[in-house]
Amino acid sequence: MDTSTTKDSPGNEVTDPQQFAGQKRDVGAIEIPSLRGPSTHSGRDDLEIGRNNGEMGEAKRPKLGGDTTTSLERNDRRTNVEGRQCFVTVGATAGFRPLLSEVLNPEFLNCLADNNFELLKVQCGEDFEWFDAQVRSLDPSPPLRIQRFAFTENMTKHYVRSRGEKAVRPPGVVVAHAGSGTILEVLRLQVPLVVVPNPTLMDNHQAELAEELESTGDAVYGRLGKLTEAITRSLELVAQGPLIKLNDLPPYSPPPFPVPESERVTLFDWMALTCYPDELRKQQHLQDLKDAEKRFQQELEQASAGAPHIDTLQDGRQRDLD
Amino acid sequence: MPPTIPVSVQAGEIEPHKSQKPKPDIKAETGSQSQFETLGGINFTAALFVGAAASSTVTGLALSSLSWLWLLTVVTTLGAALATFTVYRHFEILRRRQRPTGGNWLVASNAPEASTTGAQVPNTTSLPAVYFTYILGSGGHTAEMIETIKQSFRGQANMHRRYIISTGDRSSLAKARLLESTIRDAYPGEDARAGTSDIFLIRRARKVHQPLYTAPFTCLVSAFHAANALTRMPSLRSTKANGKQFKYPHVIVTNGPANGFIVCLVAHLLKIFYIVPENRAKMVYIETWARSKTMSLTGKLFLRTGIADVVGVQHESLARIFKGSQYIGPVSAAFLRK
Repeated sequence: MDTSTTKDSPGNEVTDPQQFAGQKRDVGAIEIPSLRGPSTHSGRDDLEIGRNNGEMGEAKRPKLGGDTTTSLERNDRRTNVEGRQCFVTVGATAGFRPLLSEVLNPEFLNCLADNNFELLKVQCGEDFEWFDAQVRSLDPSPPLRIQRFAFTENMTKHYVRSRGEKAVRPPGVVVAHAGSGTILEVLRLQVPLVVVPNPTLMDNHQAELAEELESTGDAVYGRLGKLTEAITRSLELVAQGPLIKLNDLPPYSPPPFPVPESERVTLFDWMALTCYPDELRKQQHLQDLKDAEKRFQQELEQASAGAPHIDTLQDGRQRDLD
Repeated sequence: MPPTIPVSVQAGEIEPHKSQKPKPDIKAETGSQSQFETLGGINFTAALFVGAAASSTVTGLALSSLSWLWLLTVVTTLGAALATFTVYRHFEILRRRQRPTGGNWLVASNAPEASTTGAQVPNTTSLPAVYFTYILGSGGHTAEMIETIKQSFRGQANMHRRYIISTGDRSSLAKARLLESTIRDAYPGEDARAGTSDIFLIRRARKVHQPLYTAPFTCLVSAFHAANALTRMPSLRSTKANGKQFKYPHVIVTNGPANGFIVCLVAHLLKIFYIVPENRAKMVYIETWARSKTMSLTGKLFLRTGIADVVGVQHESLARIFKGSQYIGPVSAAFLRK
């Protein structure tokens, strides 16, 4: 479907607004009064850039919309769904060229296009120039849009673009190096994840983490050379597997802070108490009382829940015997 | 029409990260704010150098009048005495260590639901002082530590937090500041429950391309910085009530960077030589969540030396393999188990 997007590209490098608009025009067929140029759909373009690149703030969108859109237009946008994004990240500390070159494999790109991916975004780290040259020399032209950048401190917005949100976009995928910071953030955002350990790193405990995640079912272990399979598997898991909960999520809201007392980690408090032996003894006594109370209540519940049942059974047997 | 590929180069993100040199004025920047401690205590280092010079001069003068055999004997005896003392104190500290007993106090999210008594256990809000020192490493270590701090945080006025960060680690510095502003936002205005905090920068143990033979010296420098960071009273507390109670940290938390081990080793040495009291500077090492079957080098060092009060791991499988380590729950990935 996305092969049509490159058709009306006027040869400019920074052209995804035009393309996206071209694609949208076919679907939506709603023209918006121009804001800045002769092109009749530029107002709409800005909106779409803002949403796709995550560069324009939320604040700008309503303003543009308020100026130019009708209620029909707003409705259209609400039901309209963004395309899938595949976001590839290599992290900040080390380059990961094998992953970058595999991502530009025609087989991989076609796999993405076949699965209705609309956008491939790549964070390339120190290999940015190399990757940029590779993308420019791609022949034939890729079946989907490819965006790229070196590094940014705020990766969250790029991860969120792959998050499956209700009436906004279907779940995409994040293909990440096996750095624990990246993995934790992506999993927290509930974005489908493929973890690709870097085999050239000396201390290769990354594979250990990837295996662990695969076994718990939280992510897919992507091996270099078999990335297409990993993508397909991730899509399967999300479509009809243990990760089905990643579809139609509500918009992301950060967890409450401070965390509820019932979920709080208390280890450091106990350690602080060991500096005050008297206080530690007191608190431990309280804790023991609490534990005892909990046990007692549990037993009470079991007894009250179990007792009538056993009684009737025994009564029944007694009746049978009689 | 030539095949063209759309590129979106986003402003501000195009420069590769390697060109971002750490600003040299990082010390000045933090020093200018009263909230932040400056790098390296002049007084502390100066006193140390003067003391070392004086003692070596006195010893040198005394020994120069003696024969080589005498010199050797004296040095050996002194060295042996020092070593014996250190070893004895080390095991004494390990033996006298106090730990909570019973219950599953180690496991995260232990606090039970409100009971009939309504009391929260453990409760540290009535203590005169609660002073945590967190050591932030690089990249994933910092992210995990920030998450752990968030998971364990409860607003209380008697809490002081000190972050120890390597010089040049701008990303950790930014994350620590972000966390502090989050805490401020949670307790707005003059709400004292936000507690106090400061950030301490210490020399990196080893830079990325630093030759190995100079590493011991830079490690020594960072050890001095660490000693300073452990013994300097928080300036925000020193004039307030219970200021003296904030002289030394109560709990030191680290999760893997090389600086973390150096700081803990220095803290242990300070305890050995009676500079820091034994009921201070309790050390918690948390193995990174990324390790489920093998222990990192830092983790093994902590297990071997036994200087950490708790060596916590986040996977039960790992706690079974390594004796001496304890399962404390996924403290830096708590959202996974919900």
